[in-house]
Amino acid sequence: MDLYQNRLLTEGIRIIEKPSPSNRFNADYSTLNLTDALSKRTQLADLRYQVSPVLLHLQQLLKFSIGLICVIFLIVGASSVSQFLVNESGTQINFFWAIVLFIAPNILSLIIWSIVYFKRHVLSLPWLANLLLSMLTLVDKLQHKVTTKHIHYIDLFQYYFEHKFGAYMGRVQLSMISHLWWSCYLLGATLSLFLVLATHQVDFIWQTTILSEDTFLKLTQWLTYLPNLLAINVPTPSDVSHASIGIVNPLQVAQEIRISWSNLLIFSLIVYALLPRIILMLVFYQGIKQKKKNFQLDLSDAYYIQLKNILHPIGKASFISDADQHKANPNNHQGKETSQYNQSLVMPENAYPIAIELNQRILQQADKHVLKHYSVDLINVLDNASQQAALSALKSSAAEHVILYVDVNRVPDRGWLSFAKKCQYKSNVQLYLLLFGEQSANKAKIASRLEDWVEIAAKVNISSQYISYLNQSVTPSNIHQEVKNG
Amino acid sequence: MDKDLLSVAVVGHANTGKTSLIRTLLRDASFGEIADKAGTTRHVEGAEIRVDDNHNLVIYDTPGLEDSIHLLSVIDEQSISEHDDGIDRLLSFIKNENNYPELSQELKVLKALLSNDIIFYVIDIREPILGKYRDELKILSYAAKPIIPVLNFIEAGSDNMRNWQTQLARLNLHAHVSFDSVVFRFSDELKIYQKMQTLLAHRDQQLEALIEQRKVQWQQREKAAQQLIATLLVEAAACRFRADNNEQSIAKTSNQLQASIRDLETSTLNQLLALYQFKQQDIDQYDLPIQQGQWELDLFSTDNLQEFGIKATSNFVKGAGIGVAVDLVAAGLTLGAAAVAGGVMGVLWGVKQRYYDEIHAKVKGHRYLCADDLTLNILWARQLSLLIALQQRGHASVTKLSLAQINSEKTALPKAWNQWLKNARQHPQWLASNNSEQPPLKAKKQLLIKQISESLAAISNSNNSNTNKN
Ligand SMILES: Nc1nc2c(ncn2[C@@H]2O[C@H](COP(=O)(O)OP(=O)(O)OP(=O)(O)O)[C@@H](O)[C@H]2O)c(=O)[nH]1
Ligand SMILES: [Mg+2]
Repeated sequence: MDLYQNRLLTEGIRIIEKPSPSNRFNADYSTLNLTDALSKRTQLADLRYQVSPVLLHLQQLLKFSIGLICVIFLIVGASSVSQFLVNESGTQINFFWAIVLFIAPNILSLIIWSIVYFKRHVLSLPWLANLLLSMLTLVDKLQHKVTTKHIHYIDLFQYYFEHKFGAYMGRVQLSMISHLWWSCYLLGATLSLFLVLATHQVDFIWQTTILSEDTFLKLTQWLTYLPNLLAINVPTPSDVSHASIGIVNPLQVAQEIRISWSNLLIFSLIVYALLPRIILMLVFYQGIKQKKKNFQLDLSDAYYIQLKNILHPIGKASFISDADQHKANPNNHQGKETSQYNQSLVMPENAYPIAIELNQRILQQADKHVLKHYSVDLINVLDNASQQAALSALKSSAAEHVILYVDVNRVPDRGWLSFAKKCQYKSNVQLYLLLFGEQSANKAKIASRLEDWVEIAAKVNISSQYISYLNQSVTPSNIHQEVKNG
Repeated sequence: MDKDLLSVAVVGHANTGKTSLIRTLLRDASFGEIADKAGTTRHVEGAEIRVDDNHNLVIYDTPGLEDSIHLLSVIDEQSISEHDDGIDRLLSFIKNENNYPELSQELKVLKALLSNDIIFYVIDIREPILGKYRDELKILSYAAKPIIPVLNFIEAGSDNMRNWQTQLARLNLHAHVSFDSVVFRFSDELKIYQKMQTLLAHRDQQLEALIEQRKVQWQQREKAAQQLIATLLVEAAACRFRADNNEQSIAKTSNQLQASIRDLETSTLNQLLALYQFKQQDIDQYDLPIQQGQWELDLFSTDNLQEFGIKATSNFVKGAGIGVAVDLVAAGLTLGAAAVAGGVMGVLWGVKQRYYDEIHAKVKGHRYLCADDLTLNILWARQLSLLIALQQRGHASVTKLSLAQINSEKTALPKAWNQWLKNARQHPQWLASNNSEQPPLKAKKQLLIKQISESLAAISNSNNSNTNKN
């Protein structure tokens, strides 16, 4: 399948999948560049959507319709000769009338065409397209024998029509078609003229009421300029004068004059009418080929950008490179009941308090709390040095209980856990957990943090009865009061 | 084909947003697991970021470091000879890994440090600078790899930014970047790659390609999004239904009209989401205000109208018949032009096709209903704010996509607004569901869409320059 067909097919699939591409057509696209990946996907998707038969049908339909009209024009052209040229008696052809009949409308329509062609917007006149569309539809109805149409037939039809006659190649396509039809018409006329001249003996005359003979002389001179160069036998000026009605020539001369006139007529028809049309037709035929070759998908369209995301995602599928050996994360099946703590915790005697990573404000509160119950300086553990200091102070105090002051807002981690374990410096030490929080903070967040704390505390044997949560509201007046009380 | 890989290890303390950062960089909300607690990630998990057909960047998520104080003391205890450096210490520790089962997570991080080209050290800047963080940085320095500190949570923790910057500078880490995985800024992402470029000079080209590709992608995506919004506006304006001239029929038809405009909006919404790689299921999961592909905020609810600062007094439908008189003049012109071209028959027929419906409706006392300016105005404002929200949404977001902060002043209508609407309303054939018999060529529609997209691009540019100024 050539590139153009493939792109057309991709567009057809876009029409069907609109607005978003399906991600069903998987293949290893990552090793291909975008163009190849697209065309591979197109082929996969076509197996499913069956777009190519429809496109083929549409292409044939268009060809068939154009061809049909070609034939019609051929017949019309052929019949026009016998109808218009040969008068009733069938022996005389009015030469200039013949020229005017064939060449003038052709030139006129060429002029109109070129105006239309070079003024971009005229050709997109909706009626022209509409006319063509209904013609195509009609032919399709007549020709389409299959009863089960593709479900997206109409959409594809519309797309194909738009593609052929729309902004991209409409002008070229329509030009080609119009030149083709004219060529057919003129070809028909030329052929039947041959036939008429071959089977009839006719005299060439000219007639006028208001024009002078000079006009015809001039006209003949123009027309015969080219054939003279090519040494074709054509009428001379004197023949023109003689061709006026009523002048009878000797037999021999008359036959020669007939041949020269018919030479001129056929020559004019071919060279001045048919040939330019055929050349233009071929030019535009090439133009269409060029347009097809240059046909690009509009990759900036939202559909294609989505497709790019599918074919070449920014992030590719992830992989685990160093898996966790300890499977079944115990965190996953944590209790659903709300985290428990002891609101009326009685502070034990013979206990040693340690603060862990408290900020200034909470440290003040903790300090106050410690002052109420114990007579030691609270060490705030922030790094390795303070850890060591706290642990050695703890050991020298020989306390039975250790009270850990923490900020409920902090995320408990294994670092905290390992420190808490170190605080159990001898076997029968009981740890207490005192959580400080601010009332103003986000309730849901505090609740989930509280849960985390209760969970991690359980790992160092702090059951909920040894945990308390002091929920301080830190309005300035409150602090003020506490200071007074203290 | 052997792909040239550049690898990054993302490390940091637990719960600082390592996995979130990767999700956002990958545009993949399904990468790894995210939770607001320590120890969420338990594996080293890698993913590839596509640079071009031959190059990839591999990024590894690691478990959070949690016990760096202990880890550092253990590493420093390793008995090594005088000439050995940090890497030897780390290697010696890794060799003795079985002695420290409690540090198995940290061990994975150390291995990752040694096996990758560059390290992103993620910092939650809301945190004070504690000993454990300094110890982490010290351990990282042993690996002797280029480090980019990523200051995360800059939306919430901006007060603390300076402290961290000074601290990092004292450790000779100057190439830090700030980031927020939830409130996403594209320029921040680029900065990350640019910093990598500075630190990895030999990978310069590859990273340049990555940056370039990201920029192109971002622009293409924005352009496509603008096109979608423009198309929505055009089609919503072109949408119309025929009603008989009585209350009942008008009410019924206006319901139909509402439904189809809603459908249009939903379809655009889905496409925008897909474009920015938010999946429908991600949305359900994260409880965006969308239900079954529908906005929870109904376009036509009075609440919503008020939210956009618009009083809900106006009738939402509008007769499309008004346009006809003007159209007929235009028809006359077309007729004249075409008569010159000799196609009178074709034109007459075309005119019939184009104006038959309207004329017929006038004679029969029908009327066409279409969405009024106000509705389209809201539609426009919503889409603009949706686009901004999507662009600023990191793939690690777990919060609602909220459009509450929009006010109507901000979404001043473009100058050509009325022109656009008029143009679209006169072309019912632009919307397939109108079943108009009129000619199908879309050139004019595309032209209008292009105009509107361009104006959207101008709006977004001016927005960007405003935010840059702030
Ligand atoms: N507002 C905001 N929240 C963030 C940001 N980054 C991460 N989060 C949140 O922080 C929490 C932790 O994020 P994760 O990505 O799981 O952190 P992590 O570093 O991977 O955690 P571990 O895997 O446990 O080490 C989550 O609730 C995220 O939603 C950010 O930049 N801004
Ligand atoms: Mg993680």
